[in-house]
Amino acid sequence: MRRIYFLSIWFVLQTTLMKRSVIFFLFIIGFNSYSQTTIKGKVTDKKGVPISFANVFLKNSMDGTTTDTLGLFNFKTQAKDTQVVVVSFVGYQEFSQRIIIIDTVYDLNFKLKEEGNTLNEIVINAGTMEATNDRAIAVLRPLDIVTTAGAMSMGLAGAIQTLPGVQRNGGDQTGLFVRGGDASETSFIIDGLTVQNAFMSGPPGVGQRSRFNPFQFKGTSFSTGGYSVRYGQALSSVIDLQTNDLPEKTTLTAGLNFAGVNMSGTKLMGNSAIEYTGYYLNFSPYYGTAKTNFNFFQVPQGGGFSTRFVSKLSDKDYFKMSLTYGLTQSGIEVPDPNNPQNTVRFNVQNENTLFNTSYTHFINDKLRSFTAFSFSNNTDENQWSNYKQHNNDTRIQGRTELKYYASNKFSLLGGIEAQKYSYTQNFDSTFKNFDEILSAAYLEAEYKPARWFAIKPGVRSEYSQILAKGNISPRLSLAVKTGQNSQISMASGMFYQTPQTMYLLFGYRPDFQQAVHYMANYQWTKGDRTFRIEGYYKSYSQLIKEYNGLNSYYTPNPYRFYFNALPQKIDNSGSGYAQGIDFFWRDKVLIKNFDYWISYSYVDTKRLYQNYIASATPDFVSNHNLNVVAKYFIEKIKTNISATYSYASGRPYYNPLATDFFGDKAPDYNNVAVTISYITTVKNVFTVFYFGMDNITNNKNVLGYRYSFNGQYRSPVLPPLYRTFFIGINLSLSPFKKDEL
Amino acid sequence: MKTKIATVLTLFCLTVGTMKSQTLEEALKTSLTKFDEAKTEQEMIAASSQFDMITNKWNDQWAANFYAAYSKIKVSLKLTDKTKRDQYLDAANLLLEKANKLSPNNQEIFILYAWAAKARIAIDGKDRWKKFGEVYDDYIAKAKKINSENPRIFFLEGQGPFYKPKMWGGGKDKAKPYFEKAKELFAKEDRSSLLKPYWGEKENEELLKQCNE
Repeated sequence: MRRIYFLSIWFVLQTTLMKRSVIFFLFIIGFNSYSQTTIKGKVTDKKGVPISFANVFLKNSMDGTTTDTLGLFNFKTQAKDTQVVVVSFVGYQEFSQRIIIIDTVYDLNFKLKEEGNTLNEIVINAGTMEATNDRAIAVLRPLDIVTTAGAMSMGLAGAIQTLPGVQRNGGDQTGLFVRGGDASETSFIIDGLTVQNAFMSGPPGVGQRSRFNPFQFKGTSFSTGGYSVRYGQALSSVIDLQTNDLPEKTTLTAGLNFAGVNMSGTKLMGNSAIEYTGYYLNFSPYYGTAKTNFNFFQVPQGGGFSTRFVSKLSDKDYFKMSLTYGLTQSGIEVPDPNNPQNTVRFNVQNENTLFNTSYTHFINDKLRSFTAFSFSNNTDENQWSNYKQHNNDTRIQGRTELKYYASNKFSLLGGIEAQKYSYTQNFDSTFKNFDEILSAAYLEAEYKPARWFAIKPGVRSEYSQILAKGNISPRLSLAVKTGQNSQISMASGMFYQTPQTMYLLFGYRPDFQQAVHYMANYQWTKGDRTFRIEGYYKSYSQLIKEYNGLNSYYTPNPYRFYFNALPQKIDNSGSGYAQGIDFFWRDKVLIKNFDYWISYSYVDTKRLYQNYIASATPDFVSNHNLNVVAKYFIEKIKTNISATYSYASGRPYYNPLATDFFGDKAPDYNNVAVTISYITTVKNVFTVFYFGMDNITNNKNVLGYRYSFNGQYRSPVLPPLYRTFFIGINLSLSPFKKDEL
Repeated sequence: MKTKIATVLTLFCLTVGTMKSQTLEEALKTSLTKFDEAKTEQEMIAASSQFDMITNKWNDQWAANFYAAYSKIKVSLKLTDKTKRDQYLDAANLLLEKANKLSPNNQEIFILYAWAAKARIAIDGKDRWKKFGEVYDDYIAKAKKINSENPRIFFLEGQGPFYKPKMWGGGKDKAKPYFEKAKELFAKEDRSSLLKPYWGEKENEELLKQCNE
């Protein structure tokens, strides 16, 4: 600036201007330059590359400028004493420096640190994989769950099996086995309430699909441990599902496939909507395409409906109510659990009703209330050879909670929950039943004092009426951002679960079973790439242990209580541990329209519980699990190809003649599943054709062996089918104009 | 010649001498003109930085923060680098927070918040429609509550169907009525002071033109 002034003076003198003007001008210069300080310099990034258009100014003053294209700046100030120079530019961390103005010229060079964007926010995610649209950056989206190959025949649970920490189910088991835990240790939650019968009922040895349609949910949060105090009664895992809010528009769709027909629709009426579905199931075409490993003398068939009402009462207030009903039956010849060399005919008929309602209401900007209520009734009418078995369970659950958002840094959640669970059973001529009322209260705080740190301490307390015992479980999770794209998260906590139904039904009243979780993960996310590694240690204690005195023996029969002498006593002296490491890698940008993820889990686990006679790795555990999920969309022909490769190392099985208890292992499991879907319009109807194939190499997987009591005879444990085909079509019957595509 | 030089000199003196006695509105006007005339990314960024200087000077004025935020959103929409685009929107949000504190319940600030959310979606619709769709709905609802006849509301509401594929219920034909309504309201708008923001007519005209193509 000063140079310009002098140039001007020179210019003025050169042009012999009127004297008055010169004097006037000089006066201004004199006035302006009186006791002025020049602050000049350069702004660059860490590598020394100039930053242009950065702002450089004195804090709380009017003096400042922006850098030129070379990153240079130069301004004057009349400020005195201590001043703060601030340098700021979008995409860089603001920098400030204190200077004491004594001299007339300051030459300052600034190096600015690059800054990420605020979307990569810190998330406490130790133990949790979430499929959500609620965040701008997420490891999984709800659509990812739906489009995973191989998931089709297993429902939602099939997709979850491709995530780290879960055992690949070979087809002989029902449920989700997480980090060394058995199926009963995983709890399914819909809109805050436990689902008692998340899977279909079926004969022993045949894995059943989960009841839900993954399209129902806007969010799936899969926890492999360390989960929130909102939930209890799960030693290993919680699948927390949130149902959709208001549908976007009125629709009507129909579907036809190898396993039945279905119809569903939504009717949008302003801020409310009604949804309805109806279906008829018949697996004949599906089982007809392949040779089954079992004799299905009655193929699974059934029907059901569901209806839902959802209303958006105001900005964030929602009321939801749903009713689901299903009736299915099937008949199959299965190996006799008492005598594996023989088969028995097993008929099952299942009737299931589930009613769920929830209300979310913001009392004011800072206070949210959530109230939910559910009722379920489930009846199994089994015919087992000549025995008739009738099981019925009902569950009523209510929850109410308040969340207080003190600021965007601190929130507090408190709630209470009560559930009544009743179980009755008629087996042949015996009748057994029990009632349980479990009540719980919980409190959890979430505090994010800085953008790089978040912590969530909480405590949950439960009281079980049937056990006449209570528990208190403290939990803690936190996360620390380690860079623009990475963070570390940790979680720990105590978890309790009442003993399995069988013990309660036979009159045993032991204490809660307990697990303590410790886990830590590192996650790196940049653009569409995610890397995640998580290590964990889980210790089990107070597990149920059966005692039979001196002549203790093991039988793999889950129905042993019905056919053998009852244990002399049972107590909570069982224990065990699980430790391992999970990897996850996902890349959506390697090739355009190509998306893949790899998950690998290693687990080392042993337990001594129930009727085990020594500490062993249970028969539902594979030490190594690998899943590679790939999806490719071919835009030109509107076709999506999805493939999943699954590997699981062999599971232990019980051989009565072996010296090592559970020392023998089945062969490794390998499976490749492919789904191809083609999107088109047929006469203005939006149509999706899909074709799926499971186990395309027709690999003859053997999942284990069952032995006769004396060990002389064994039969392999097999999946219901090897290679299978699945074909279907989905039609959107809602009005469409051809030009809209 | 003499008078010409005198004029140049006087102007020169004025710029040097009066920089500090300029009113906020004058400063905004100068910067806004420069910003509107900017064609390249670099020119826009340079002009946007001018708004930051105004913010530094009048940091207790909501309008200073408002226009700085406005310029950041426009820069974000102009850029191609995704990270940079988000960073500009981060900056816009910080400025809007300041503006909102200085002038609570200001409709124009809510509208800019909503526009910033739209700009977030523009960067990555597939992954962001949900989160920022909700943010957008929140702010547009707040803005409508104050005055539903603001042309900028229609300009923003039209962008929903404009960018949404026809397959999902969007389309230019569905967007057009919004932009037309906005145009009608823009024509009636009071443009006496920048402190009563009236931006958007040019942007609306541009989208309306594309609807008619």
